[in-house]
Amino acid sequence: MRKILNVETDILIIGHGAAGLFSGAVLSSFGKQVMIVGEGATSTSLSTGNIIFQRDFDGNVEKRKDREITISEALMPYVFREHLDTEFINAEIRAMTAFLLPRLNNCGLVLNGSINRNQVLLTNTGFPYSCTFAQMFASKGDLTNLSEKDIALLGLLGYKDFDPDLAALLISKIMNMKNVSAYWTQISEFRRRYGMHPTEVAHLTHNDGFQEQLANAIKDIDCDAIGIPPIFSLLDYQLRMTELEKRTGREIFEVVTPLSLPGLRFHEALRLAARKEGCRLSEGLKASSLRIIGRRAESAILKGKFMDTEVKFGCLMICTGGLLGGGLIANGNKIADSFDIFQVEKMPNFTYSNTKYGVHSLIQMIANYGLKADSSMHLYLKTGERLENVLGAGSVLEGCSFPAGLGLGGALLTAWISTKNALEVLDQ
Amino acid sequence: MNVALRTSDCIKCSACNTVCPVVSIDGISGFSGPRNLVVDLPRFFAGRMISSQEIFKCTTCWKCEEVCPSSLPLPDSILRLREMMFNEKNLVEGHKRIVENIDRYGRSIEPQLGERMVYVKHEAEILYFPGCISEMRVTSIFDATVQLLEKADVKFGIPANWVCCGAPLEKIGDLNRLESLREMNLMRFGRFDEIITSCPGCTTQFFRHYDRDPLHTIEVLWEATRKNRLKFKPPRNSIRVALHHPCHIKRTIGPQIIDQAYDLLQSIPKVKIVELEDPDKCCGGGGGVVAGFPDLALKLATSKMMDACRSGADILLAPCPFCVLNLRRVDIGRVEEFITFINVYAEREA
Amino acid sequence: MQRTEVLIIGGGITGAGIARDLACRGAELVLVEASDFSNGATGRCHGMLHSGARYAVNDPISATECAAENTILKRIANFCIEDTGGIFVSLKNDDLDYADRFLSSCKKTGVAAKEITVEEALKKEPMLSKEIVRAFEVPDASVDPFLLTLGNIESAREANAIALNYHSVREFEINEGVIDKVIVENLRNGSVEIFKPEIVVNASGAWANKIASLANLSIEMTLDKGSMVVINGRLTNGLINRLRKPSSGDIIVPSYSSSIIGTTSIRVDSPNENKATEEEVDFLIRETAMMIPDIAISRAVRAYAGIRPLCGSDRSCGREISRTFQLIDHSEQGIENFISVIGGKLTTYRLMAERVSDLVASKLGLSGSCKTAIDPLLSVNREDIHARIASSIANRVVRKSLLFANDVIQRCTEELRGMEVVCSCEEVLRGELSYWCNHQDVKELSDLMRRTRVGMGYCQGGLCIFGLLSTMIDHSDRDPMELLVRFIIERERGVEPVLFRGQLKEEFFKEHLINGVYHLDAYSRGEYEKDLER
Repeated sequence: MRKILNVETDILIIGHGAAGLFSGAVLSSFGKQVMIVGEGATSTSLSTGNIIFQRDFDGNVEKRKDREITISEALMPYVFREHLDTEFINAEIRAMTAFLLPRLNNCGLVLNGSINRNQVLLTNTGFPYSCTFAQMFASKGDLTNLSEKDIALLGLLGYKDFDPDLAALLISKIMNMKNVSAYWTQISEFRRRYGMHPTEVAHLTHNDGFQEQLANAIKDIDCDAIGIPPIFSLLDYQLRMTELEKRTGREIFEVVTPLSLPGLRFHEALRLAARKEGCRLSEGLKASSLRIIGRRAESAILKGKFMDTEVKFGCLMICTGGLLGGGLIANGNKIADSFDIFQVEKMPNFTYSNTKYGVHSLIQMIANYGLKADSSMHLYLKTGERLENVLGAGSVLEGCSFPAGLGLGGALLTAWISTKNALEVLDQ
Repeated sequence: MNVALRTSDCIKCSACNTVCPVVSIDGISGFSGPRNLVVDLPRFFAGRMISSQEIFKCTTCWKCEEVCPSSLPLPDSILRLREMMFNEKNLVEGHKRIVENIDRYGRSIEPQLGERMVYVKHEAEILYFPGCISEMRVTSIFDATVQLLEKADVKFGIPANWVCCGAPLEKIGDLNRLESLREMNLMRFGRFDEIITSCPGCTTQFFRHYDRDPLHTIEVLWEATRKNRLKFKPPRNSIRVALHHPCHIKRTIGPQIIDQAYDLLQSIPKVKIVELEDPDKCCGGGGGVVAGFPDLALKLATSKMMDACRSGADILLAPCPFCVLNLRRVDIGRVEEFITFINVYAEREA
Repeated sequence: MQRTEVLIIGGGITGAGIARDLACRGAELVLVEASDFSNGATGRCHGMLHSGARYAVNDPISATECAAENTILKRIANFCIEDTGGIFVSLKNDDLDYADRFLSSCKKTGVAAKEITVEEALKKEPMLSKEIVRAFEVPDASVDPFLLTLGNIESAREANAIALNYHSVREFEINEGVIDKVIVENLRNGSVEIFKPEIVVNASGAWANKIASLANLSIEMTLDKGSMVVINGRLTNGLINRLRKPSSGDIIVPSYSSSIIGTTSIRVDSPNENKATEEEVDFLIRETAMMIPDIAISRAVRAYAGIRPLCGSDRSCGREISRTFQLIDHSEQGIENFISVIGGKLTTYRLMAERVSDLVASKLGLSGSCKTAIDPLLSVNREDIHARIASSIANRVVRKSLLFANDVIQRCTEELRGMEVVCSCEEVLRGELSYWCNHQDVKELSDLMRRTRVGMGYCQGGLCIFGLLSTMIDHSDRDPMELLVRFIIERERGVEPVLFRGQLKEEFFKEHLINGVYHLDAYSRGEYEKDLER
C-alpha cells in the first residue's frame, strides 16, 4: 500500500539537467510556481560543460533532404528547422546569455560577459579545443593570447587525472606550440601512490598551508602562464585562483580533466541558481506516468521509494535528456521516450564527416532520434495529436542529443525558447 | 558471485564517487567509494578479503544511488556486503556497544533516564513510536512531538515496552537480531496499522522491513495545517533558519517530506528561510558511522556546520535525531531539531 | 641475411608451441608473426580447456587427444588455467538418448565424465536453469589463451629461440624445390629482413593458404567463423555445456570477471572476415540463456569472432569437420623444406607441436627428445613477491607477468606512480604497464591489453585509455594520437554488435568523454581502419 500525496503547481518540469534547471530558473523568475523532479546523474553533469551554439566546420557541405545546407546550420537544434533564421537564433542567444550569465556568476562560476570565438580551453590531454563559450564556464581569465606565451602545466602527484607530460606533448604536437613545458610537484598531504579522487583533493585544499605549498611550487616555475588541474570546488575556486595569482604573480588557468568534468561544476551552479530563483527541486522522484485527457496533460504520478505523489499542473515540460540521461530508451532497434507515449522521430541522417575519426557511426545514428516538437516546442502524442500544454526542451528533442546535436548549447537554447511558450500556455 | 545485487550496468561515470561524502573526507585510500566496493570489488572477490573497517564507513546516505545514471542499488549492496561479513567477534567498538545495548535494554543506546511514559486521556487511533534517540538523547523531540500531536488533535498512543526498530542493526549487518526485534515490535503494535515516527531511521525501517506504512511527524503536521488544525505564532524577533535535508528523509522516505517541511516553515511568520549551498550533503550521522568511526562523523558534521555558518542562518534545522546528535558535536553554530522548533510556535487552532 | 635452422611462420599458440618444443630440443629457430602473438584465432577463442567431452560422441579422435592434453596442460601450465571443472546439461526437450551415448563414448575415449543429480548440479551452479533434466561433471577448465601463448614464447626464448612479432612474411625465394630465402618485412620500421632457413614451418592458422601460396602451393582447408559474446560478470563457477550434438550456442566459460558465451559456425572466404554480427549475438544470448537464464538480462560487453582453420574442404558444415589437426609435408608437392600444420584446437596445441617438432627434428637430424609434456612452462618463485605487495594484487600480477614478475613488481613498488590503478575493471597497475611498455614486443596499446588485460573490462577502454596513453608515451616515441585512435577503433569493432542496454549507455558516456573532452573528431580514422582490415 502506497500513500498518494496530492500537490499542485503551475509548472512541472521533469528532468533536472541543464534544460530542466534552466527552464525552472527562467519560469521562477517570472513568479511562477515551479516544481522540478528528476532522478539519476544528468548528462549535463557528465558532460564537458562545453556550451556551443554553432559548430564551425571548415566549410564542409553535406546534403540533407533536397537542398544543400552547411554543417553549422545542420547542427543548430533541429527543432528550429522551420525557421533556420540565423538572425532570430542569434537574438535569442544574446537574450539568453544576458539572463544566464549574472545568475551563474552569482552562484560561483566565473564568467565573462561576451561571447568570443575561437577561445582556447585546455583539457587534461592538453587538447586545446576551440569553442565559443565553454572557456568562460570552465576556466578563469582570458586565454586568447595563450599561444604567444610560455605555458607551463603543473601536475600534482596523486591527482592522477591530469598528466602534464602527456598534455604538454599533445599541445605541442597538435597546436604546433613549442612553448609548453610540464612540471610535477608534491603536495605533502597528497597520498601520491594510489591516486586520489577529485573531491578528496578539493577537500584537502581547505587545509592550512595547502595554498602556500601550491604557490611555492608555482613560483619555482619560470613561466608566464601556468595551468593547474581543477582542484578547487565550485564555491571557492574564484577566490582561490585570484589569491594564487596574487601570491605568485603568474597567470593561472585551469585545465579540464574527464573525471572532474566542468559539466559538473556548471550543473551545480545551475542547480543553485534555480533554487535561488525559488524552484522547488525534488531530486529522486521518478515521473512514472502522465494523465492526459484529450489534448491536455492534467497530472503526473511521481514515484519515490515508498511514497507516490500526484502533481497537478498547468503546464508540463519534458526535459528528461537523451539516452545517457535516461529520457530516451533504446529497446532493440526501437527508440522510445521513457513514458512511451510521445512521438519519436529521427532527424534525417547525416554524418558530419566520413574521413575523420568523427563519432561512432551507430552512436551517431541513434543520437539522431528524439521527441518530435514543433517550432513552439509543443510535443506530439504517438497518435499524432499536438499537446496543448506539454513542451519539450533539451537533448530529449529530436536532433538535440550529443553527439548528433549541440549538447549543452542546444539544451539551453531550446529551454529558453520553451519557457517563452510555457508562459504563453499558462496565460491562456 | 551473488555478493552484491545487480550492478553489471555500471558505466563507470564515477558520479557515485564524486558525490560520496566519505570519499571527499577520507579519500579513495581510506574508503574506496561505492563503485569500487560494490561493482569492482566483487569481480575480484574470490581473491580478496574486504577490510571490514572500510565497508562500515559508508553513512548510507543514498546519494550515490540518487545520482547513478543506471540506478544501481549501491547502498543496498553495501548493506548486503555488511550482512555477509557480519561477525559478532570482529565488530568495531562502537558497533559492539550497540549490540550489547540492544541485548540488555532493547535500545540501541544506553538509557540515561527511565522509560518515558505518556498517559493519554483519549482512546488511541494511531501509534506514536518515539525511537531510541528521541527517547533518551535528544529528548526534546519526544516532548515536542507529543505536544504537537495533542495540539493537532491526533488521538495517539505509545506502544508499551517497545524495542528498538532495528535500523542500527541493519546498518551493521546483524539481520538475525533485527528479525527478533521486528517480531517483538509487531506483537506490541497489535491492531494498529498506522504508526507515527519522529525519526527517519525508524520510518525507513518500518517501510523496509515491517511492511507497514508509517507516517513521519512532518507529514502529520503538514496535514494538520492543511486542515487548519494548527496555526503558528511569530517569534519575538525574526529568525533566519536553514533546513538540512537529512539523507534518510530525502532519499529513503522521499523528497516530498522535505517539501512539506518547507511549507511548514513558510507558514511561521517572521521566520526567514535561507538556502544552504548543498542542503542534502550528508552530516555523517547515519549508517552506524557515529558509533563506529566518530572522527569521520565529526569531520562530516564540521563540514556541514561550516556550510550553515556561511549561509548566514541563525539556526540550522535538522528533522532527524541522528543528524542533531552528530551536528551538535561540532562547536560552531546552533542546531535545533525541526519538530522541536516548530512546536515552539505552533498553536492549536481555536 | 640471417641463417637459422627453422623458421616458424605464425605466432599463435601452434607456432609458439612448436617454437618452445624445438628450442628445448636444441634447434636454432626464428619465429615471425605478422601482428602480435596470439592475435589470430588463438586470442579469439573461447578460452576453454576441453576435457574432450564435447567431441566424445562425434569426433572420438579429437576427444581422446583432448582428454590426454587436458591433464598435461593442467600440470605444466597451471599459471594460466583456472581449473573450474565443467558441467554438461540436458534440457527438457533435448534428445535424452544422446546423454547415454555421451556417457559410453566418454568412457571409450578416456574422458572423465560422471553423472550427477540435478540437485547437485544446481548446488554447484545456482544460476542454472531449473529446466535441466540431466547433468554430467567433466574436467573442463578455463584457460587464458594470451598467457598460454606468451608463456610458450618466453619459454622458447629462454632456450635461445628468437621470436619476432610485427614481422610479416612477404616472399619466398625458391631454388630447385627448396625455400632458400624468406623475405620478411619488419612492420615496426618498414625494413626488410632476409632469413635463410633450413626448414620453414607454416603455422599461420587461417592464413596458412596465403603463406602456402607464396610457394605456389595450396592447402585444402575450410575457414569457419566462430563468434563469442563477453557477458559482464562471472555468472557460473565452472564451464557449462549443452549436452547435445555439438552445435551453436552451447558453451559458457567463466573467464576472469566475465563469462564468455559461444559459439557459432559460419563458413567464410577470408581470414579477415572476423567480425561478429548482431544476429549472431542475438542468437548466442537466446541459446545460452536456456541454460543460464540470467544471460538474457545481463550486459553483453563485447562480441568477437575467430576463424577456425579446419582441415579438408569436402563437407559443407563446419561442425561436421573433425577438430583434429593435419600435418602436411610439402615435399610431396615439390617443396622439400616446407611443412604446414592446420586444424587442431587450443587444447591440443602441445600435441600438434610435438608431432611437428618430431618431423622437423627427424629432417634436421636432431637427437633431443620432446620434454614439453613434463617440464612446467614457467617457474616463478612467488613467495618473496607476495611479501612486497598486497597479496590479492600480487596474485594477479604474478599470474600475468610470466617470467618477469619480479621486475614488474619492482616497477610497481619503486616507480613514483607505480601503484596507481590505471584500469579499474581489471585492476591493472601503472607499474605493470610501465614494464610492458618497455618490452620489445609491445608496439600498440592493444599489445599492452593482451599482456595485462588493461581495457578488457566492461568499460572497454573508456576510462583507462588516457592513463594507458600517458604511460606509453613515457616509453615510446610513437605519435600518441595515432596510438589512441587505433586502440579506440579496435575496441569499437567489438562493441558495435552489442550496442544495447548497458553497453549502449556506456558508449554514449564514452562519446562524451572522448569526443566531448578530447575532440577526437578532428583526427583521421580512415587509414587506421584500413590498416586493421588488412
